[in-house]
Amino acid sequence: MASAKLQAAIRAAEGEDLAMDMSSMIDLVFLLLIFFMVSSHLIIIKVDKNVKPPIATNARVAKNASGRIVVNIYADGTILDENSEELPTQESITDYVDTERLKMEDNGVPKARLHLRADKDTDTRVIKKVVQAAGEAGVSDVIFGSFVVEKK
Amino acid sequence: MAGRRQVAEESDPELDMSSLIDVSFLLLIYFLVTSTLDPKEADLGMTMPTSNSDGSAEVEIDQMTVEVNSSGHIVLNDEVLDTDPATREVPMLLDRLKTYAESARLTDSKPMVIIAADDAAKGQRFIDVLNALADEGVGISNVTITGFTEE
Repeated sequence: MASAKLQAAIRAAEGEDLAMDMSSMIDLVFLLLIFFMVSSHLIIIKVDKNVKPPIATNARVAKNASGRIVVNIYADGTILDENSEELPTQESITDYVDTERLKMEDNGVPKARLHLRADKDTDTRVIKKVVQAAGEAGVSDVIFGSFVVEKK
Repeated sequence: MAGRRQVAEESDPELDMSSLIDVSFLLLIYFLVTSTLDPKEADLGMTMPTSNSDGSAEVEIDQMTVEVNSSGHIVLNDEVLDTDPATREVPMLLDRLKTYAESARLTDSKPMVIIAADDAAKGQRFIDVLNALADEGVGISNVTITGFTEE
């Protein structure tokens, strides 16, 4: 009785193709995929492509994006919330920030932060307006979205 | 005839995958060449002072007021420091901030900077000042903004 290996070798010598069993490798790949899917956490912020953020070399890439109230400011001074709905007045910004802050507190986030995505060509007047409105809504921590290197 | 039928019955039917893999690699190379990666957006933080003080008796040193005028010039105590809004470097301001942060450390007090930016100054220049505050040698996050306009 020849062993399985020997039989395979004999068959190979006779001209038959040797096939590699891929099933265990695919098992392992799926196992790794599921592990990384479970262990990783996603950073979810809706990025408005119309905003070209400024450059700041000392900015740091966020590890945790939870507890953020996102406000976008276009170069022409248009202010929008995360869902691209316009916030025309200072009162509307305060209302939006206050509502989001309360929602976050209900979800166990003690301190909400304002994530300000202002275009690099925005007038500072608009930035000040949003920061002031957020302060009136009780949010004093402000994060400015910026690029560490210039976008090509 | 009987022998040929026997062979057809015994051998397993196989699908040739090589052309599929060829197309897959072709698509992969196409997307690798044509796509551009967007850089990740990063955070530059600042904390506005709040009215609810915790009551700790911390020695306060003089606040530093940094002005940004409409031309993008950075002014400190009527002295114009950095004048080129096209560059992201603000060496003179950085130097002053380092000295200020060091003196705050020596007196064991919390440094605080007020940014008085002109309404017409561009956002990038405002961020340049914040960027200097976040520098390793400075590390001031206690910032306030003045010049709010009532609507």
